[in-house]
Amino acid sequence: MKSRTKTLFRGLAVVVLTLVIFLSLREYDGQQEQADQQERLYFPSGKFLVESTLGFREAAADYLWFRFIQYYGAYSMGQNDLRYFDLLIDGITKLDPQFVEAYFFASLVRWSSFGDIDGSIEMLKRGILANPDKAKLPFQIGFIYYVIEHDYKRAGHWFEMAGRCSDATDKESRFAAFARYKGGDKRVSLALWKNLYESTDSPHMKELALKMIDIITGKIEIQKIYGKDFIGPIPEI
Amino acid sequence: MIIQVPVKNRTLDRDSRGTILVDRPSRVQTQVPDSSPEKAGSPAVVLEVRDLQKSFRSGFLKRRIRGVEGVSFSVNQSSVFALIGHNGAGKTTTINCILDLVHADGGEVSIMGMDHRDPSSRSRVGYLPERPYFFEHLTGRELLKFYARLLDLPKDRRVARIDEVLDMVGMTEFAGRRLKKFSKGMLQRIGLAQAILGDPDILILDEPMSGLDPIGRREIRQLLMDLKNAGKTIILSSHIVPDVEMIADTVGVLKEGCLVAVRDLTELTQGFSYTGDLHLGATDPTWLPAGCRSLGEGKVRVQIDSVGDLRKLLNDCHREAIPVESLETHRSCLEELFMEINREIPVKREVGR
Amino acid sequence: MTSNIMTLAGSTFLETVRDRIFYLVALFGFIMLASTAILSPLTVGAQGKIMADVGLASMVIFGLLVVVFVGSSMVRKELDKGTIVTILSKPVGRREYLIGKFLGLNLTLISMLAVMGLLFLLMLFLAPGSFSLRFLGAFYLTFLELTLINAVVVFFSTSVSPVLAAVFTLGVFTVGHLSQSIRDFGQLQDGVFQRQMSELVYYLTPNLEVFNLRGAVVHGTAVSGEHLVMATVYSLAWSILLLVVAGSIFSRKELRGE
Repeated sequence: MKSRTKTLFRGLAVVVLTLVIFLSLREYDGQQEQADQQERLYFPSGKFLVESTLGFREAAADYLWFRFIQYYGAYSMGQNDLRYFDLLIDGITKLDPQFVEAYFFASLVRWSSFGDIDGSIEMLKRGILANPDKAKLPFQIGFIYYVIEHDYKRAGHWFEMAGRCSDATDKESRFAAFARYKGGDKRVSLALWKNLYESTDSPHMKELALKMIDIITGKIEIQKIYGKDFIGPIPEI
Repeated sequence: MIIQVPVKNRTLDRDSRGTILVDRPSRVQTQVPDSSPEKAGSPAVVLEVRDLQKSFRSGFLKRRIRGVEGVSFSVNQSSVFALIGHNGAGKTTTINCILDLVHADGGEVSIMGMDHRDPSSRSRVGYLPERPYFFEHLTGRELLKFYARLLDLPKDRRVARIDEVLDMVGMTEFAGRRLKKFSKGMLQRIGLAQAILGDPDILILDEPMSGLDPIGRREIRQLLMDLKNAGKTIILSSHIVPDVEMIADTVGVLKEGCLVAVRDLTELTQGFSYTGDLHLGATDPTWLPAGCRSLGEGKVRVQIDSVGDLRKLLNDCHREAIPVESLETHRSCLEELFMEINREIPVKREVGR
Repeated sequence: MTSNIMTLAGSTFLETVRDRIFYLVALFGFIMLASTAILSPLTVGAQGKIMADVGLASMVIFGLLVVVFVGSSMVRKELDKGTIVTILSKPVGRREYLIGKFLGLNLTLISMLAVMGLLFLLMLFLAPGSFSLRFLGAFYLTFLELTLINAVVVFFSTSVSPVLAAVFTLGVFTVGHLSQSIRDFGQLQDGVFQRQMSELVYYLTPNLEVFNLRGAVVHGTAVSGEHLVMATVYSLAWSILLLVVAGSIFSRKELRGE
C-alpha cells in the first residue's frame, strides 16, 4: 500500500513535470522571435569566429550556412529585411573560404534582392581569390556582364577565364565564344569555336561549332571584301 | 565437536590448523553452562529468510542461471549463523538478497520484523562485503566519518566512536593514511570497522577472514567472539571450515544454490569422538585428567567423545589450576559433514529450524 | 533522508575536488581565459567583447566537460569497485544515493563556475568599460543549463556504460542547441509526418537555447527577470523529471551479479 502510494505519487510527478516543461517551452516560444533576432544581432564577426571554433571551422561554416538559408527563407516570407546578410556571409566565407556555394548564393542575393551589381561581382571576385580554380565563379561574373550589363567584351573575358579552370566543361568556352562574337571580336570568337571543335567530345557540340565557324568565317570574308563598315548585303528586292 | 563455548568472558580460540588457543586460561570458568541456545528461554528471531529465490540472466542468449533456490532459515538473537559452501554455491547471493543489493525473484526476508526492501530495516545492520573496497581518496578516519554521517550517529559521539572502533580492529595507527595505500588485510579491517561503527545488532559479514594473515584471522575471530558475547547477532559466510567451526552456533550448508543442511553445531558434535593433543602450561603435570595419556613436555593426548567431555576436561584443568595453552584436534566433524554433503550428488532441500 | 543526501553530496564533491580531472579542466579553463587577455591586443578595439565571448563560451565548455566526464562514470565507478554496497547497506535508499551524487556534482559545478566567473569578472575589470554585473545573469543561465546536463548524464549513467552515457549526453547537448533549427526546418517541409517529427524532437529534447543569451549579455542587454524565472522552472522541471525516472531505473538495478 505504502509503496503503491509512492509509485502513484511518482507517476503524478512525471505528468506534472512534463506539463511544466511543455508550458515553459511554450512560454519561451512566445519570446522566440525576439530571441532569434538577438542571437543574430550579437553574432561575432567572421574574423573572431575563425578563432573561436577551435578547428571545427568547416562544420561551423556549415551550421552558419543552414542558419543563413533559414534567415533568407524568413526574408522571402517577409519576416526580416536581411539586415545581417553581410555579417552571416562574412562569417561563413571566413570560416570556410572554399565554400563556393556561399559566394555564389550571396552574389545572387546581392544582385536579385538588393540590385547591387557591383557588390555582387565583388563577392564573386572574393571567391575567386580563395578558389582560383573553380569555373563556377568567373562564369557567374561573365553571366552578370552578359545578361545584365550587356557588356559582352567583359563577359567574354570572364567566360574565357572560367574556361581555363580545371573543372571547366564545354559550356564556359561556348559562352566565351558567343560573348566574343556578340562583342564584335569575330577573330577571337572564331579561334574559340575552332578550339572547341577540336577539344569537344560531344557530336552535338562539334556540329554547333562547325556551324558557327562557317557563319563567322563567312562574315569575316564579307568584311574583308566590303570593309569594316559593311552592315550586310542589301536585300534583293 | 564444538570448540568455542558461548560463555561471557571466556573465549577459546583455535587457529586454522585446528589448534585451540586458550588465550587467558585464568578466565576459564569452573562452571560451564549448557551451550544449547534453545534451552535458554526462547530467543528472539532477528533475521528470517523464507523461500528466497534468485536467478541471473547471463550471456548473449540471456540464459537463466540459478543463484539461490528456495533458501529458508532464521537466525536467533545473539547467535552466530554461518553459511558455508563452495565458491559459487550462493553464499554471497544470499547475503546480497538479504541486504536488497540484489533483488530477490521471490521469497521473503525480514530483518528484525521489517521488510528488507525498506532502507530503514538496515539501520541496525552492519555489513562487510566480500573483498571490501572504499573511496580511495579518503583516509581511514575520513571514511569512518562519512559512514558515521550516513548512520546518523550523534555528532558529539562520532569522534569517540570512531576512535573506539579503530582500536577494536587494530587500525588506530593507520587511521590517517589514505585508503589508496592500504593492504588487503587493512581494507578488511577498515571494512569491519565500518560494519560495527553504528553498534549494529546484526552483523552480516561476507568472508570476513579472507585476505588476512593467520595472526589477523585470530584477532578478527577474537573480535567477533567479543561482539557475540556483547549480544550481537552475526551472520557470516565462509568457505574456510575451521574458522566457522570455532565461532558459529549454527551452520547452513549451501550447495548449488540450495540450503542442504542447517545444523546446530552443539548437536552436530554429539557422539562425535576425536583425538586431540592438549598443551598444558605445567611442564610435568602431576594430575592427569581421565582418559589422557602423557606425551611428555606438558603435552597430553586426550580422547573426547562430545563437547560435554571437552568442557568437563577444561573444567578439571581449571580446578586443578593447570593452565591450558592449546588444543590440537586431528579431525573436525564440520569438515566431515561438509565433505559428506558435497559427496552426495542429488541436492535435497532442507528448511532450517 | 536529507542528511544522507547531503552527506553523499559532500563526499562526491570532495572526491571530484581531489580528482585530478577537475584540476586539469580547471587549469585549462584558466589558460583559456588568460589567453584571451594575451590575444585581445590583436582584436583591435573589440577587446572587451572578445574577452567576454571567449570567457563565457569557455565557461560553458569546461563546465560541460567536467559534468559529462565526471558524471558519466561516478555511479558506475562505485558499482564496479564495490564502494556502493557498503553505502547502500546502511539505511540509505537508492534514490537518496542518486540524488546525493547529482547534488555533489552540482556542488562541484557551482564552485567551478564561481571560480571561473570571478576570474572572468576580474579580467573584464582590466579591459576598460566592459565590466558589468549583468554577466551574473549569463553565469546563472549557464549554471541552469549545466544542471540540466548533469541530470541528463546521471540519467544515462544509470542505464548505459560511461562511454555511451558521455556520448549520449554530448548528443543531447548538441541536439538541445539545434532543436529550434530542427523544428524551424521541419515546419518548412511539405509532409505532415516530417512536420510532426520535428515538432516531437523539439518537445522531447531539452531546448538548451533557452539558456543561451550569452551574445545578448555581451552586447549590453541584461537578461530579464521574467526570462530567468522561466529558465529556472524549465531547468528544474527537466532535472527533477530525469532524476525521478533515473531513480526508478536505478532502484530496479542489480548492484552485484553472481
